[in-house]
Amino acid sequence: MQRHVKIAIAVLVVAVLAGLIYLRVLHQRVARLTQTQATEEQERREVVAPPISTPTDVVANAQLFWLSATQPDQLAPVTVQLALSADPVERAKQLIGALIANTPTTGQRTLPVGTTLLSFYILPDGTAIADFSDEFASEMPSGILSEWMAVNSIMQTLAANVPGITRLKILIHGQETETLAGHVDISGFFDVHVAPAPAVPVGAPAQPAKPGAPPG
Amino acid sequence: MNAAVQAVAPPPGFVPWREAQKPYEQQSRKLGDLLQVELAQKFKGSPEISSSVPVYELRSVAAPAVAVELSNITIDPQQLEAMAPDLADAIARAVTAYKTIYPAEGK
Repeated sequence: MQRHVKIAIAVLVVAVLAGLIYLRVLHQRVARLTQTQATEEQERREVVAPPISTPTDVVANAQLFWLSATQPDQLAPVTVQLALSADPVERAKQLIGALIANTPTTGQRTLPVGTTLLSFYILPDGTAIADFSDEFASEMPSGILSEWMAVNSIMQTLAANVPGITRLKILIHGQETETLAGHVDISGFFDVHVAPAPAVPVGAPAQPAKPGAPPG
Repeated sequence: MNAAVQAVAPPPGFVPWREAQKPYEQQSRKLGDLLQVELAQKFKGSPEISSSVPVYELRSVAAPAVAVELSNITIDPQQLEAMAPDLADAIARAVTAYKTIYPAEGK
């Protein structure tokens, strides 16, 4: 073998080794960056949406609905110990806050991490109005299943833990919105009742949300 | 024939476009169930029961209608393309079955 060929091979081997080492360093940097972002997000959340506590808070078992750990296209209840208020409005705020912040694993998340519940009301007829920040729509992965899982996780969690809520209206930054992220119709009201989580909507029959006049 | 599913006559007069799907919800569910059975046979892991979801695009459709969500956009496009023949076959079978079982509605 000629000398210059040997040199070329040696240079290539060194380049490949250097590439592998750099790849490992790059991987570690990405992992560190992800961790930092998660921490920053947590800090931001604590400023924007501080934990709600009321004088009537009692630590109780709450059923929160996230994506199932084994079947990620279905919801599954997880029992969590939470300080819950006796006031249904504050209780609902605490539950939705926990639904966003206390997700067991990233893969089980139903609501985008940047989502904040701006306000929550319950009307005398049992209609709950949940007003979310823009991130609820803008950070939501677009798709029928992901959007429906988000809405359904809120409905199921409220149904299981806040008696008296009969239907739910979702607002984004105080405004009525046609869809959550392009697919699921959130312009109407959703009936809130305890029901098993739906199967995966691979074939999802149409069922328009019940249209209704905005409250007030 | 399933007696529980009645043929739906088009509602008289004007119907708000956003409520056009409302009279057809029951038929849509039946069509969705038939389609889901076909999909479950073709694609492993698919559930056997369809779900009722308020899909925005379908609310103005004045006919039995379903939406089929295959996957999210992160899946390999070639993998998606490979699903096409089986998907087309499943849809064709479901529509044929629907028209056979519910002839009055399968217009």
